[in-house]
Amino acid sequence: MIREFCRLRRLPGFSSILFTLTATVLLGISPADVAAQSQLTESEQIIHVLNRLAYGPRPGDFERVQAMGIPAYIEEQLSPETIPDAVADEIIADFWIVGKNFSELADYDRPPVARAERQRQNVREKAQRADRRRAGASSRYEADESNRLLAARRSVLNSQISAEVTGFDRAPGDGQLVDVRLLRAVYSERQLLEVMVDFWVNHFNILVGDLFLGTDFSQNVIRPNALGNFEDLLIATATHPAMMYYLDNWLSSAPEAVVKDRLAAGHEVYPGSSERRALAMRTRQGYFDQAKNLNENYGRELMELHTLGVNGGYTQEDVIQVAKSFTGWTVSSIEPGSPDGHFVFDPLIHAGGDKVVLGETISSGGMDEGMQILKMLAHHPSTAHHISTKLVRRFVSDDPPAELVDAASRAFNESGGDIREVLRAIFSSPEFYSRQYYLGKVKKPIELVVSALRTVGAEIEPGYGGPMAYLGQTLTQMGEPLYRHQAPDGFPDVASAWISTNTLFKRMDFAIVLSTGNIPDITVDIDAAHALFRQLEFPIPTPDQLLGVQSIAQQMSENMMLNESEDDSGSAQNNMMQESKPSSIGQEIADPNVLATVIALGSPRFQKR
Amino acid sequence: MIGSRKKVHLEPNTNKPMNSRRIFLRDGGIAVLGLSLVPGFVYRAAMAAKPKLGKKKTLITIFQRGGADGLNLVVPFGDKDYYSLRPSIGIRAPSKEGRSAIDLDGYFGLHPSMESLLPIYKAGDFAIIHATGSPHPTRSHFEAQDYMESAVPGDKTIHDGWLNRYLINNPDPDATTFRGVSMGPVLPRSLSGSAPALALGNMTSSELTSDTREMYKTLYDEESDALLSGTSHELFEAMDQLKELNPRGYKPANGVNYQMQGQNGEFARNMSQVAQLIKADLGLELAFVDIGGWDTHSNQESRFEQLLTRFSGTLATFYEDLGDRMEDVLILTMSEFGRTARENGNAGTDHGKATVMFLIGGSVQGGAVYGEWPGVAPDVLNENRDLAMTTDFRDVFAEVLDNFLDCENPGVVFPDLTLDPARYKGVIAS
Repeated sequence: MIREFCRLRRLPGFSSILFTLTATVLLGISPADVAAQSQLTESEQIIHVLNRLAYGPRPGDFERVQAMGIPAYIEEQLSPETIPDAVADEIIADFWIVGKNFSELADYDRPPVARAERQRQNVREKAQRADRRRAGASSRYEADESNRLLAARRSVLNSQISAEVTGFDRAPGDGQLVDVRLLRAVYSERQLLEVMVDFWVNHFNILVGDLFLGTDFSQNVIRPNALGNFEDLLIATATHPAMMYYLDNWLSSAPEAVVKDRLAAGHEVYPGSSERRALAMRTRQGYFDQAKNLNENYGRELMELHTLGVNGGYTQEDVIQVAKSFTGWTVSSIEPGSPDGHFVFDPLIHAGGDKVVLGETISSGGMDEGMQILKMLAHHPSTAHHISTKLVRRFVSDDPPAELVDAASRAFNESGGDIREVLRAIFSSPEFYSRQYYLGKVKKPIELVVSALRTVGAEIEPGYGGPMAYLGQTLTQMGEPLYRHQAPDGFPDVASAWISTNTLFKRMDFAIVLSTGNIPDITVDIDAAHALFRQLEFPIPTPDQLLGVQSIAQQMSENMMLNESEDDSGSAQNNMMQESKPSSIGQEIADPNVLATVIALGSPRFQKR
Repeated sequence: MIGSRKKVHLEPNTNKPMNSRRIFLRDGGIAVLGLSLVPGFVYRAAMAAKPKLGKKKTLITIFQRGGADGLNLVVPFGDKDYYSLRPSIGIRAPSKEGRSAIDLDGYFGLHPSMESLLPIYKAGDFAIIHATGSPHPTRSHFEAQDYMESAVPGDKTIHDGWLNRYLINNPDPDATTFRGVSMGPVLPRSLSGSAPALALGNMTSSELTSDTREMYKTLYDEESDALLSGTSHELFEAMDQLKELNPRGYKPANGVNYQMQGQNGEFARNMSQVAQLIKADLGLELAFVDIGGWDTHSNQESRFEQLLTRFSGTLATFYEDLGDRMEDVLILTMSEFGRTARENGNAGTDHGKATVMFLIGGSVQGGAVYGEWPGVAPDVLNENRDLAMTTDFRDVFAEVLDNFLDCENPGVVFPDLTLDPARYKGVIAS
């Protein structure tokens, strides 16, 4: 009966899939080429813009863009400072990290007693606020029955959440950072800003599993510059202790003998310098297979990942010269991640002499050498090309069309690295509106999760633990643990990185759990979602067609009840091999609109944007 | 201890492991593709016309997360310095009375809570390598685990895990979806990379019942995006196969029971499911199982009593359950680092350096403690605090790949290491 509404075509033989893929890879023939000729309809264009500039539409967004027109929407999104954002501000106001600067965030890490007290206070306040909200919105939890089910479900989820699966603890600061990112992505009207924060967090990836450094980097370095000038952004990242720790530059110095001579000659010692040298020597001993005392890690990634790109025209000698220029760019503490570790330039360990980088002479000049190099790299044509390629990949296609990359690069060069101008060039290009790329990007996990929450008009009550931890865990299981990417290149932005049997499973699972209202403290508006799916031209079944499906759902419900009594493991661990667990989901799914939402959110169409 | 070797592979490791490889398509044509661009299902479909299921070798890697204290797991009771470092938590030398180490060779002894492994040691199927660890000095759990699982310590640019690189570089024409399987909900770093691998704990859910699955199957079958439809096809197939196994009805062999007193819980359940997968001949080659709880900063001994009973009891149960099939199975345990040689002020230990690795299986030259013992005198401790490392964990990994899995090119799996079989411990009969 399901087959009826799906107008099932025969499953293409596996060999034909293979052929198509082989042809695509080998001959460069894209199946989309053929269909690419027709133009997008007006409503498709609106859907497209909301899928690309935003994390998908919330109920009401479609009408709003339709009313104001696409060009006005784009301009609005390019100027987030002009968009009121009271709802998002209200929802994240509970989080301690919001609005805190470097030293305030560092303070949180300093005295253990004060920190513990602050944490307790934080939890108390949150709980009180949550209680007040609940009191005002009791209708959500009216029936005793659903309260009971919710409570049961919550206990299962909470134990899942606390299960140690990733091998490291979820520090409160990191937890808040993830929570605030997700809440803003769901609620903020400044959607393009949120998308760009995600872009730059990955472009300038760091991994400091640490309370305040990562938070400060994301909140106070990336966010304020996400739609600004690339040079400002680059310099802000280069002068942050998180980056200096992460890419080892804090350990990079002039040769030891030189440093010793300077000390003997009465060179001023920066506090902590000599200890840091000792630590550096011990850490590096027999390990870094590089010129002694020099660490090339930052110098290399600065050019390969942050600016020029891997084929951007630099040589190994350039890497060495850049690394030498950046010696002395370090951190004031020898304990990685210490709250006392702010960025400093330490002349004692700076390698003297002129350097030659990309054919240009950089005169010996202490910290100015690094600043000069950053400015040179920020405005280099290879950088324009590299950044533009990545932006076109994010906003248009896994396989960025060369002409559009060139146009975006021109905008980058002509504007002196104004990120808004590059985006404007992309959003106004014919390629952006080409049918070839419509629904052509597979959503990465954060895009899938956030767009699903937006689609169902989710109201989240971000109390302590609860829904946010569940969402964070969901992203981890889909392969994108936010702020936990190990390598300096950030999470990938192509479909093949995100779709595997594991992650596809998790995507379907999430669709069911969310649509049936089974994430604690997340309320979904199924009617609004249903209306939105019709607006978005989703292929979902009509009530008539669902009559048959409902009987299946009824059966499911009965099966599950049966299984409930069998389960005696007492374990909350999800496990595929334990086929069924107690669940109320079978019952809830019997509602045709819920079922339609389950189907739509888990469908292949919803995996794409 | 190096036995006669049937093959020696010494290749320069200048190539990154994920370069293009030849893929033989089913129709007989040959294409050279960038493997990382090819989704898992296409790769397997290209490699496997019809999966031939049958017995094959299985490597089970067990990660003891938290930093396991090798000095109390395998006690150097013959080293007098051990007792001066650990006045309160040290395990007494073997004795008829009270809790004491179980003598293995007159110098080393097993922790008393690991008694269940003694028969396997005596049978020659259990070997220990002492003082193993990583050359990288980090004491961060996260970093050290990551480096052990990538097997390229110190290099943050390596994305994949060592087991995945093995899969990539040793394509198997008979491979099934179950070639590489992690029992947890998240694919561990060891198995992550461009070769497909399953995280069984993730593919859970109860919520995706067979009926919901039908609805999705219909939609995904219609989907024109080959990545989505092909992957879903594989997903549904795997779920069907797993359902047929009926884990609830699993009866271990030889009268053993995974849920015995003191050893129930997640680890036992995961190991029983590995046993079931092996016996079902689904093509399981690499299994990965986690066990946490090793970060014993305080009250170590009271924790160990329970943890080690559970850990070794489950391994012994598994060994019995598998019976003759242990000939083709190897269990390899690892932990990101050991702990400080000196006990701390809370009857515990802090993050250290070297620890022990266990190998259990029919192909193991067991009944021996391998590795050079560095001693624990104050002047030979690593940074004056930890058991020093004398065996690089990568040499153990390499020996396992080379001699147990008969990997043709183990060097490719360890891009920054020049492999030298002379460094192998000879733990695997070859």
